[in-house]
Amino acid sequence: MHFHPRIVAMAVVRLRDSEAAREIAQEALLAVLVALREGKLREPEKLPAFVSGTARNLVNNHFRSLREQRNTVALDPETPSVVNLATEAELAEQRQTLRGALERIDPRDRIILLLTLVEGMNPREIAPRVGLSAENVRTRKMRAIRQVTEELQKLSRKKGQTPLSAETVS
Amino acid sequence: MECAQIKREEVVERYLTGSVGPQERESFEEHYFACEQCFAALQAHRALQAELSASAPQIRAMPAPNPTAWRWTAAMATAAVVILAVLGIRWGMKPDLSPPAPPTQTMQPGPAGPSLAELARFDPPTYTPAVLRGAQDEAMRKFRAAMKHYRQGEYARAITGLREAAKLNPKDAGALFFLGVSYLLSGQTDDGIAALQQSVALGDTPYLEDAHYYLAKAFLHKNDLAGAEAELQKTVQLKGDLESKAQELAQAIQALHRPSH
Repeated sequence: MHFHPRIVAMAVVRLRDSEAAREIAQEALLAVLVALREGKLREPEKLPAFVSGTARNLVNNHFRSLREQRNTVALDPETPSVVNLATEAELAEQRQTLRGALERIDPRDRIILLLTLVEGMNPREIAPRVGLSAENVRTRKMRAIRQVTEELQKLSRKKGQTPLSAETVS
Repeated sequence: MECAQIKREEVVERYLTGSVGPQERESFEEHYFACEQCFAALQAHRALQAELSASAPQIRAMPAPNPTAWRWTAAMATAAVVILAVLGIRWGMKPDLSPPAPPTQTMQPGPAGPSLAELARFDPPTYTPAVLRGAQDEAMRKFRAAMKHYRQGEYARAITGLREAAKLNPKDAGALFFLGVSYLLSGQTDDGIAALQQSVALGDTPYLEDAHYYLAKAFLHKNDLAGAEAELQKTVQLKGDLESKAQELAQAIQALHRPSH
């Protein structure tokens, strides 16, 4: 079980800040390691829940510290990270696969995906924009996501890993 | 939470767009920390979300699939068939009865001139982060984080951060300017105009000239030539770096006014 990418994913989704997410992932893994050494985890099968709980606490602490940082020195978000989890070439290959897959789907489905995953709209909100029923939007969206993610997962299987994501090398 | 429920209730998408409640979010996080399949789905969705965000301007630039437009297209196609059928019968009877139509005054450029759409196009203005050694407030921190997305072409993400930065510091002309530009690059022209006008309203700031110039581009995008010319005039009056570009653009717009023969 690889927890690092999971913690990064959780922190990015919650914080929208890939650098802070990577820092939290390092911190969380360290905290988990210390806790394990101290024998704080008695039931090994609960390790995933323990790690996610530790990461969640650190994300919440980060939120709190952001509120307190208003009048203090903030971290420079431009500072480059030294933690690169994937190569630029791997990320470029993934982007190429995604672009190709997106180009192959119906233009209307691309708009449905954009409105769903970027704008956060639901099928009922999308329906009048694309001239389809909400049910039709839902069907098309699921089919399009399946088509695109299948290509991505094919690439990942070839490389024996879970799909990379945008912040892995940024 | 189980895999089937996650799939059925589209939890991955809702999680990524922040549309899940705190309990559901926590439950899903605990699940994907232990489930390879759902974590792979989450990562695939995240990669797709990032790519869509980066390609948003191109996707939006495609003709909008508007149901009303389709209905009109179908109706017009039907009407065209009928008209052609009638004309075909007439032309069939009188083959020489078609004098060339007189030239009409249009807003189209001559063969050498750029079109309105071409004039409205622009490259994203460059942002170079300043080296700040002192304390940064939260608004500045958010601005700089958002501008990282801007520089990567992730305008939807940049918009989110820049809106927060502008909310924290409504007098930040830079945040408002780049918010406006990000909106324009995402195809949200009206929102872009509103943000740029707010930047202009702050008066004499380092972004004043640029804000007028990109407002002109936004008005061109909306086919509002008078609005674009007014903004270009203001750009020229400031006698800054964009003076000659604004003059050239104003001349190109003038050329569009001239009838083509």
